[in-house]
Amino acid sequence: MFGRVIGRRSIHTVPKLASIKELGAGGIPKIYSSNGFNTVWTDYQQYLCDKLTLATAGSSLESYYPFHVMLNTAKKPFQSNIFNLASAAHNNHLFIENILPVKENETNQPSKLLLSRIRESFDMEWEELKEDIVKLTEKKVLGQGWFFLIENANKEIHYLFLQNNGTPYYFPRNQLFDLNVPISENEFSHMEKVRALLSSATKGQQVRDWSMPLIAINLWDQAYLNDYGVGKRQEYVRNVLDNLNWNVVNSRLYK
Amino acid sequence: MNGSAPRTLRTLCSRSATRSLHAQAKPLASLRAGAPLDGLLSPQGLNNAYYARHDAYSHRLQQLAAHNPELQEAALDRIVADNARSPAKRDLLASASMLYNLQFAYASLKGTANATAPQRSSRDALLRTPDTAVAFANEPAAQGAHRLQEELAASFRSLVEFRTLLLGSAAAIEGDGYTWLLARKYATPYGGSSGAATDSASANLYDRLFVMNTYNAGSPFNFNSAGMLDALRGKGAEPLSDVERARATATDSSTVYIPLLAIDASPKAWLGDYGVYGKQAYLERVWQAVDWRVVEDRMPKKSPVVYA
Repeated sequence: MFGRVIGRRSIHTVPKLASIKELGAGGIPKIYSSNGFNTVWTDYQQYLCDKLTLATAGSSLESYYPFHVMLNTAKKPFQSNIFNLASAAHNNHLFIENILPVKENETNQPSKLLLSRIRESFDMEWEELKEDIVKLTEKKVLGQGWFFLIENANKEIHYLFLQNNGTPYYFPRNQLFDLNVPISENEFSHMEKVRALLSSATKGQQVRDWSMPLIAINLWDQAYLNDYGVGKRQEYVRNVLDNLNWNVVNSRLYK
Repeated sequence: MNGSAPRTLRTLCSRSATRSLHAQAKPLASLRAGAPLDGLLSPQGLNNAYYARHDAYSHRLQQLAAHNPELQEAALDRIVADNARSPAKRDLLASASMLYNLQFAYASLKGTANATAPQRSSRDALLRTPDTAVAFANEPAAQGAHRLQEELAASFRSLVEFRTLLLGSAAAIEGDGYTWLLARKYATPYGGSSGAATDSASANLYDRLFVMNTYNAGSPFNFNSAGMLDALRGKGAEPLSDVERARATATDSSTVYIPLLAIDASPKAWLGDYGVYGKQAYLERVWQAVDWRVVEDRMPKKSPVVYA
């Protein structure tokens, strides 16, 4: 009986990518040099996993995956340090997956379904949306952060710019706004809505956020400083959006 | 009595009030582009940490102030304080604030005599036992900043505690930000500033020192943005009267924090030279590279009264 309770203890390790050897030696063509790749993945992911292991060791969280650690701690402000690490580790894995190089004979196109969903949601083509995203990056994230294109429960597509290590899975922890500078009334009313959602959640209703990420982009300095340099983040974001692995992105869309 | 409120802020900003934006946006004379900051940053590291950011922020600021002569004559901290609550001026506020913080932080770094080049930390750095030494290089007194050293010991109980708090606060900044050493100028509820109402030049008397973090474009001059969310919440309910609006937008000058030292915690400062695991090593080097005489020069006079 006790055997089931005791016994599992895990250390967070960097997910194994199939082509890690080539990536480590040659980087990701058109996006990262080998040095840039090793910074954002080999070193940074290792750093996040080690810190997460240290932060969760000896607690009930130690046997969870980063995704579950992230969801579990998202509602607990006193565990923000753990949430930040788990969310970053999960986001960074999503990011690296959707920029893995495609094999030479493989097609690499956004699916028709995805393109039509984008058209319905934004009333614009993917190419136009891409320009918008690149332009918005500098405006929305002054410091560190993440970009996400998500599909919500109504099958609508939205983009999110998250501050620091916000998560796309849970509204109250999106961290959409930078409160170090004044916020507009629109942004404020969005925050109030989320707050209302949260207070109804404490009364027994659950926060229903079924958002699923389609595209993830790391906007931290760890992701672009090495290869692109200070002030070149837009260039980097454009490069990532131009060279996505669409097979991965397509497969994330609900069919 | 209330009339003294705007004056205190003006005095606080007056040191740079006569300098035009153009002059303030010049790179610091104490640093050299293309050269290392000895013992702290390589030439490339200094470029990432300071010059490239300086160019980006000041370029953006010049753009925003291009058709506004008044703005071009304004002091950076003045721009920050004036626009702290205006979402429409967010861009201006952010670039002025980030430029001010950057200039302020790097003006008090002079490099270290121990000039080994910075090294990239390895994975083991995370498992290193924290250093419990109570003696360390580059105490303020070693550079002749005796008054500062005494004040730090008085406000933080000991220099070791101050150092631990300062570097620990910077290490705890997750994304971008600065850790500040601030002097508090605390006005009594009876008007006048701390303890010396008779002295008309007393505007800059401080009573205690504090350590504080700011994040992204946050600023120690944004103390008047407190209550911003409450103001927004009230907005929908009923329109504010003129007096209420004036009160809501006026600067609360009852407590003013005068910055003495800022430490840059952004990965832009340490990632290139120290690597992903290197923030702690960078912070320890920053301590060694601080020019304490610059910090002491920024210190106002001490108030005879110390508040809790």
